[in-house]
Amino acid sequence: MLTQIEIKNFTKKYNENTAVNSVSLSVYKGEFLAIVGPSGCGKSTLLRSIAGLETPNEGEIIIEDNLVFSSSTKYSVPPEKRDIALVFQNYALWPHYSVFDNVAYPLKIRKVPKKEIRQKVHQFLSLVKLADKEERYPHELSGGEQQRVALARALIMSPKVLLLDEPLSNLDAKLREQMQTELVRIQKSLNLTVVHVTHDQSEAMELADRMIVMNHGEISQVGTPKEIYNNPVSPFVANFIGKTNLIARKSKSIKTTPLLFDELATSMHINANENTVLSVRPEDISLSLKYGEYKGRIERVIYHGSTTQYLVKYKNIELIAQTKSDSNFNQGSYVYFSIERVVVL
Amino acid sequence: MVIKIIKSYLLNLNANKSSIITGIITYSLVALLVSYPLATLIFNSLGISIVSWNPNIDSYRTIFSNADNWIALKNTIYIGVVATFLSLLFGSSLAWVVTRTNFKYKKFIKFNVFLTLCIPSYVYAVAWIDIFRRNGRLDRTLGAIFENFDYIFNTYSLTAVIIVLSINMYPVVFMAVSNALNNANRSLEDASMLSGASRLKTTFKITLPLIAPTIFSIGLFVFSRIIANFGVPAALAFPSGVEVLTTRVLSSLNNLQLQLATTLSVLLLVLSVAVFYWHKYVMKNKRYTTISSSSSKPQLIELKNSKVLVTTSVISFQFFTSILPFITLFSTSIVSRAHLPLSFQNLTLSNFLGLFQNPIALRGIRNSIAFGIVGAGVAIIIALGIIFVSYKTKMFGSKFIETVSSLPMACPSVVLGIAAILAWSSSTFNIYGTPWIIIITYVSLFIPIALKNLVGIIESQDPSLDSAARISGASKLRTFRDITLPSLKGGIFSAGLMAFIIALREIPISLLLFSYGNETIGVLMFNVRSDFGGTEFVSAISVLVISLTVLLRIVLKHISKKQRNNKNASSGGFYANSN
Repeated sequence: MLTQIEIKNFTKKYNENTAVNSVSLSVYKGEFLAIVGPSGCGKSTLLRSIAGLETPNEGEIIIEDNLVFSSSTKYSVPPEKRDIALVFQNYALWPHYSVFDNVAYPLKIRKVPKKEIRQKVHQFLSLVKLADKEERYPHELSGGEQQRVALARALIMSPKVLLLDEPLSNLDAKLREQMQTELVRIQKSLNLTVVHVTHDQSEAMELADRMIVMNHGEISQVGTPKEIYNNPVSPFVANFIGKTNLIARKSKSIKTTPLLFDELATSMHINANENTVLSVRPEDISLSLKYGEYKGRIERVIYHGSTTQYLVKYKNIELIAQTKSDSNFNQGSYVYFSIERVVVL
Repeated sequence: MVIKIIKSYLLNLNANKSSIITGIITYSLVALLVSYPLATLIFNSLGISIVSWNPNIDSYRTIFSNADNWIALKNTIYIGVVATFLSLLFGSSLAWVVTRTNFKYKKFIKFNVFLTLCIPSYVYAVAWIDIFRRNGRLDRTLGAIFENFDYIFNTYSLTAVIIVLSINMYPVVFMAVSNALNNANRSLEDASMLSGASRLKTTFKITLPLIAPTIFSIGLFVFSRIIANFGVPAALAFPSGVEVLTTRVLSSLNNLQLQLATTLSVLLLVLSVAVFYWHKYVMKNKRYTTISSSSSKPQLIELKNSKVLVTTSVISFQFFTSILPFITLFSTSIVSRAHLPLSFQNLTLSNFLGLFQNPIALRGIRNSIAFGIVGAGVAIIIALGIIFVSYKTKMFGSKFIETVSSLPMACPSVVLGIAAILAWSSSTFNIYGTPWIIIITYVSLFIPIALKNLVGIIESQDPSLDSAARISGASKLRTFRDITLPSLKGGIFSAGLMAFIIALREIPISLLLFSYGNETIGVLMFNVRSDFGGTEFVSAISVLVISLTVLLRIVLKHISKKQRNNKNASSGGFYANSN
């Protein structure tokens, strides 16, 4: 695979606080990469530095084989010369420009002939399905429409990379889903390289070809959504990507080791040491009234529509189990359960 | 090559050539127009100038060994303290009545505050003289009632100065305190009343402490303006031989004691700047920031028994402080001689027509308009440059330049005038005797006003609008032109209007710097009265200035209403109330 962006030993400090600590990563041509992590993990800093809007303290950034930033030689290509597009969280449409002028701006700067600008603006507004709104001003548009104008403005410059800074987080759930579908459609049809930053792990999993999970300014794990979900490398990743039951020998909240820990270790032949953490996804716990390896009590029933979650108390631990909604266990009743899959962390 | 060195040492990594050039031009202009005159003033007081190097503090020894200077200093502080106290009292009481009670004639209060704001302090002094002088309006009225009436009222005194200045400054207090009261979190007051405190008790125990920092900081601001005022003490105290620092600067200049004037100016400068920055510091560190967006409509205090008392005192106060002076000026401006009674055969428009027939008067009006427009225009361009380097490129030293360029706001105009004389009539730069010395000084006076207006807008702006333009391929300068500038349109216009209003009423700068042919309205007002005693003529000019100011301020209000979502944009308004 061709590498579109290469980041080496990237470090960014704000005064004494390290936002990103010696991170290296590659973005491949034509892929949809999601960088995901809790707020303050450094993902936006990374994105803004790729665009040239922030200056890292250490490291190198290479875009399409061109060095755009190097801390050792104090070399930095300004954002306007990087040919990178960024869709901002708040869209950042210019209020004094019409939709047409907003989208045309990158071409106007590049001194593209007027006729060609007109034609291209039409083309890209059609792509985001806003061809009829080009005379409008940003404040006359809905959130979703503004978002699509911002996308058209980013796409029209045929960027080397399209950066997305949580652009869907201000939309309501229905609209967000629509936009996700649109984004993937456009990305595949234009064969774009996309780096998408989000704190929403489910959005990242749905959209991305590949994911980077970040925490405290460092990369926790890189992989396809499936790899990361099924084989998280740390309790943080297991807990952040999807829901999970973490069963630790020692933890701050529980003083005594859950009895389940040793029982699982024995039955699954796990070589557990002091720091081992076991991760059990809720859907990997099957409940039954009649048979199972363990027997627990239903503490709480949380109905989700398509699925139902149960809080099951087993000896000195509480587990979340998830079933399809056709199951029907009552609060306070006893159930048998089996654990079908355990990830050792 | 040079640019490359500057680029690598002074700037962050992604600056380009055009940004650097803009920066260099801006820095040089601020250095030349603001730093150079003030530095010249300070160095001169220490015996250091371009032509001589003789560092000493003799002139400070001299001024402190002269009792007259001590008296002037004492008078300045006395006027400052008492007039500040009075304007705080008037302004806050009226603000409280408007925001917290069910007083019936709130529009009346606001109208009069607005009118007061439009009357220059010197014009107030003229009206005062017109009313209280021997054979003035009061004398004649009383004389008509009582036979053998002996007029003993003292027209010229420090008390007169205090009364006029406190009336002149109370609108500033009113606006600031009303704002604070409107923004104060009502739920705190509601909680007090739910706890069983009466409305009045709540006012003193909760409301007052909440807005105390505002009152304190606005008090410091008013104090700094009052001690900087020249026109009022010159008109109302000087004739009786009583001096304050500002008038003493001018009188020592008239006695050809330039060194004394210079040193006194530095003294005045230090005092004003210290108080002004104290005010800014208090503003910035207000302990109670209690702005609540979703507060309920205020429960208004019913005035009940005290209704008659409050109504009569408010209405008579404002009648005597804004309506009466205006009527006095207006009626004087339409009679042929000031002492004649207001009757049909004495009515005339000749005073107004005279303004446009008399070549000096016409020149004064024309000059004030021209200097104001040119000064405001240049100041706005420099302010834009400062904003560019300070907020958009964060160039090395840009915050320092911003601070330096806001200094003239804290400077008494008299001091700016003296500094200009020293800086621009030297052998190196000699533009004394040309209009440019006045215009340049106006520029330095207007830069902070423009900055204040524009920085508010810039700070409330979404920085990603700029980033989006950069990403789209625009350089910093291009982004500033395409994205920032259009958003500043309203602010630029209101800054221009504020500067222009000041140019219309400003006296000390042009008085110190004018020469034949370069007279301004301020010079006319000041000199016509002392030269010809033409009160009716001055009244005509005053009415003209007031009408123009009312008109411009209405436009200003309209603009800031349009930018309502931009709260900071108009908050610089009261700073324009210059001496």
